[in-house]
Amino acid sequence: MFLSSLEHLRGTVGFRLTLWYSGIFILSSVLLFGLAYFFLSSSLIRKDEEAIQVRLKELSALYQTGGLEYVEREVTIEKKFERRNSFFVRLAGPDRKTLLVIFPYQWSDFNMKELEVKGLEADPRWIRLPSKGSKHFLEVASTHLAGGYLLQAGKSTEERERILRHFREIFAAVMIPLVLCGFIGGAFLSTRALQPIRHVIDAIHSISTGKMDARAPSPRSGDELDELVILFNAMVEKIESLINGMRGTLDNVAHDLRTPMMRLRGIAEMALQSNCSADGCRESLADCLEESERILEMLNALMDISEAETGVMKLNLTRIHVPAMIDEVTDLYRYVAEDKGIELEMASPGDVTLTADPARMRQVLGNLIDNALKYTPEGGRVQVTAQVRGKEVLLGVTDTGIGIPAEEIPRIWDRLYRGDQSRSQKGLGLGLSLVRAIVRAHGGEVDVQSEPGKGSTFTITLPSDNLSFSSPSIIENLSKL
Amino acid sequence: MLRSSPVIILSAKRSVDDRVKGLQTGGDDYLTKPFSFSELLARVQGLIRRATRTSEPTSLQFGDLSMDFLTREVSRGCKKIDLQPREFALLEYLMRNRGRVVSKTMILEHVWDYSFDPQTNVVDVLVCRLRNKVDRDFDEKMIHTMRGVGYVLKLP
Repeated sequence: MFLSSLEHLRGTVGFRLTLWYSGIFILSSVLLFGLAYFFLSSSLIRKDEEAIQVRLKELSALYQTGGLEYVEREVTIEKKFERRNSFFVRLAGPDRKTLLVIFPYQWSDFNMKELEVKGLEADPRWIRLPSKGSKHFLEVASTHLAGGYLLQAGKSTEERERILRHFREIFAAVMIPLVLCGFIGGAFLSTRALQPIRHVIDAIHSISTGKMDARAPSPRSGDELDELVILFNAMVEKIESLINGMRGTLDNVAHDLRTPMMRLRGIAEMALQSNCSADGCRESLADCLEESERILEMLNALMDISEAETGVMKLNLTRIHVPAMIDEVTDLYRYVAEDKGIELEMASPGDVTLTADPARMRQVLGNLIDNALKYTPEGGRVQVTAQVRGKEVLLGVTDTGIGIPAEEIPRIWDRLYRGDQSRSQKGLGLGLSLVRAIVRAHGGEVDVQSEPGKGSTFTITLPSDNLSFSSPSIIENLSKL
Repeated sequence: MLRSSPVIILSAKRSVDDRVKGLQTGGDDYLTKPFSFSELLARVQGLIRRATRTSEPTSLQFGDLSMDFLTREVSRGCKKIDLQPREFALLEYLMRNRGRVVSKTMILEHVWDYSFDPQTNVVDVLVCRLRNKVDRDFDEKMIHTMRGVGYVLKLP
């Protein structure tokens, strides 16, 4: 269990970031300590060498002033006091035999015989003599004195190495917490930085198990990850609305189509069961055809409504000259109005333009005019208006019809809702739902004012310049669902 | 022959985009499912007529109904009939497709140049007006309603 979770951890970006972070952190501290160590050790070596050389010069100066005697006295005094910071001193005769030697007692043992041998060689200035066990070295400098004598002074590296060892110990003592710090700091930073991504992953996991309402909390930091989370949430929001819209539509379509399907079936069944004449059967078949036509109309209307409501309706946005469009649509209804004795007129200033889908706008206006003509008695008047108000275009359809009772107004936009007075009229009960869905898909709104017995006014408010609305209006539109 | 063969696309895809795509990629006409067979027939015949480039007559006589498309004169028997522009367009369409059923959609497309169904009774109203002028005063009715399909101009 633990191993598998560790295995999983190894594959995460957070872990890799932590490793990188702590790796670089550790590397740079090691480099820093390495440099310091290098400078310290080289300066210690230099200091030792200088001290040895100074000692050598002192002794050779003594020799020059007082000969061998002086040197011997100096060395003997030194040996007596056993100074802590003392030197190894050796004086050899012309035959290279050791005449005099002092060796501080606290140092390890060195093979002094070596010196006698080495000294015979081509007079190296520096001799490094390993101790027994090769732990330390005795660094020895030599100088020739008058009379063939050889004077040597040296120091064991023990002292130096003790300081450096101490330094290394401090380094190790500091490094272990430092590495830990680096790792923990790296883990903390990467965890913090990657938290939004993990939230998104969690949300996706939840969504894929069916919890569509899962969202990733926004870190509100304003950086790229914040943006990612916000965009992700907006996308999920949109998908959820689309799915809900589609599901709702499917339910509605299934439900709404059952009634006309039932009628269709009823007609066919009746015709089959009764011993009807050829004419009667033809009549039933014609009924069936009409009913199937109605089903098709309803299906198309329902699909249009749901497309518009869910924001998947493709709008073919073009600049529309509004009075020309109103002309076109009223032309379609001219005979209908004429036959009913209704005055159908347009009142619009000459130059109103609008960016919208022309076919859809014609559909909207057509539906409103159709309604107005249906519910206006003979001798009435239907007026189509267009006006500009600021950055909006207002389209109005006013009639002198039967009006809508106040309690029915909120429901007229519902799918398949038909008011008491409208049941006598032919229709599907989808016209106003479609009008509202299309108008909203364009980023607009539709409103109605009505007084029973006097008439109604439907007002469509649309942004006149609809160029930038495509995506925000869809999301806006979805939020209204 | 092949090169001049007209193409009609029958499809369940009914969106404006699909139609435009279909017509742009070489279709001469586009009909969405479900459709009535008489409408398909009428459209196919219309396409054939156009493809074979038989010049459209400038006047037609059908039964006792005669129509001159240039002078825009219409008469039945010896009675002159006055028609308004849309009424004339509808009658011309029915005359050219005499004996064949034309659907409401076809009438909307042809008379108003309207490419989608506004789901209204405007076609019924126009047919009704035309009937009043062409058929009302005569015993033999020529404009017939085929319920659930459309209208047809035929002799009894």
